[in-house]
Amino acid sequence: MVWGGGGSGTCGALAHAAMAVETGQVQHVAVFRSLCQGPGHRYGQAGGFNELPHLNFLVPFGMFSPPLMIAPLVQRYIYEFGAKPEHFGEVALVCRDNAQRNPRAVMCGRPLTMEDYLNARMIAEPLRLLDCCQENDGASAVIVTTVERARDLNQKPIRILAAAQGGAAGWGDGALGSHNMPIHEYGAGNGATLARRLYERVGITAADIDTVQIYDHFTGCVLMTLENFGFCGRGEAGPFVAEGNIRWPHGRVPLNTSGGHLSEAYIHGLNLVVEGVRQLRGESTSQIKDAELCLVTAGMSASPMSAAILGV
Amino acid sequence: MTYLPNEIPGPVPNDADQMFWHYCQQHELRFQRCTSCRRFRHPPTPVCPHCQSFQSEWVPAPETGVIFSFTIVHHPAHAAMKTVVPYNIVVVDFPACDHVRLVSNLIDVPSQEIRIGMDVVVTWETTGNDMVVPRFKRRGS
Repeated sequence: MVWGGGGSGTCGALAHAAMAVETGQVQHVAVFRSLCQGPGHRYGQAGGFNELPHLNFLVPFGMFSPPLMIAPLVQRYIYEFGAKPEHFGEVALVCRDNAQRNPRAVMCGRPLTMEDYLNARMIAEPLRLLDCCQENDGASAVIVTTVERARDLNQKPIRILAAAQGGAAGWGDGALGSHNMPIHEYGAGNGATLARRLYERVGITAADIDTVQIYDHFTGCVLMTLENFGFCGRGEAGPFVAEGNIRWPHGRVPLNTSGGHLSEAYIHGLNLVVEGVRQLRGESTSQIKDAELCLVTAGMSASPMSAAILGV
Repeated sequence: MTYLPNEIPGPVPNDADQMFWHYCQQHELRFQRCTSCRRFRHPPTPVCPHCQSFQSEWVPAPETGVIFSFTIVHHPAHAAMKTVVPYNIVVVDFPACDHVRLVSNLIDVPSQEIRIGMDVVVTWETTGNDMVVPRFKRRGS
């Protein structure tokens, strides 16, 4: 089974796996993602995304790769809400700081200051180098089975309380397409519908979530996703993160506790799922005390995106 | 001299968008509009996403568009861009056409002067594969 949608489909793969075991079609599913870009194109270069729709309306105008596609969204977000470079920098710093405690993180041993962040070279304004996740080879996997079978295993079972894949109407024309998503949602992200569905299914709100693993391909997308999933109001995520709310260990919702895509590794979101499992098992290198509920998101700038709520 | 080099890929028309490029070849910017619910859509599609009608027409765009967002690109993601950076990419909004937007370039404005809300008018350039594409100039320039 292939999940589709690039990194946007990662939690959708969890949903498919859960459906397969719950309907008795299989006993166990390995959900994995492996990336080896060496032999082919790298994602950050022209030609790395030949499968995208609407390239006729992007490539002839020099819009070759995801940073260039995301940059206008973040520019518009800044225009509408006055977000500051330091707000985006806080996301990069939080991830890098968490990576210092994670020996598996690519950026472990390479701490970052706000000055480093602000002085990093521009990729596509307003995106600096350190607003963009790293590119690397690597792989992650989780095993999905029924709770009954999982109880017989050595590892503590972690529940997929809800997982879903989808997007708002019109987001097929999103940021990795022609930029014709509904105009009032430009620079807003694509996750609000999905968030509502997931919270309703579990019977919780954002206030109940202990830690979040948010798809951090770009720092600006993290701010938009925090808003989509109700951790703060529309346009408020900049001040929200600047006030320390995503910092480990005492922030309101410590974010990307393994270092995320920005500083652990870029495995299309599956390493975020793995970190969510570690948190709920009490095995994270940046452990949240008594963590019981973790939100994991995948994508946001294309459609469909996906997300999951994991619980003990 | 075009704004971007001829070495980068030009459009290769497909079943859905060939009429858009057909009009561009004639230096006409037209957008697809549903003849049933009369709503514009872009990029072109066979079926209206609002009312599912298969019937559509191609309506000339207004002369002026508005910069809705933009980026200044410093990283040459394509080898041919190494001597071109920094260059701009703009998202041009056509409010009178149900806010359809084009991703394009503003060819006559220095990077530091580009602003959201600027009025722009279409101009035409030819790509390396002899396709004509819409780019933009500041209105009144």
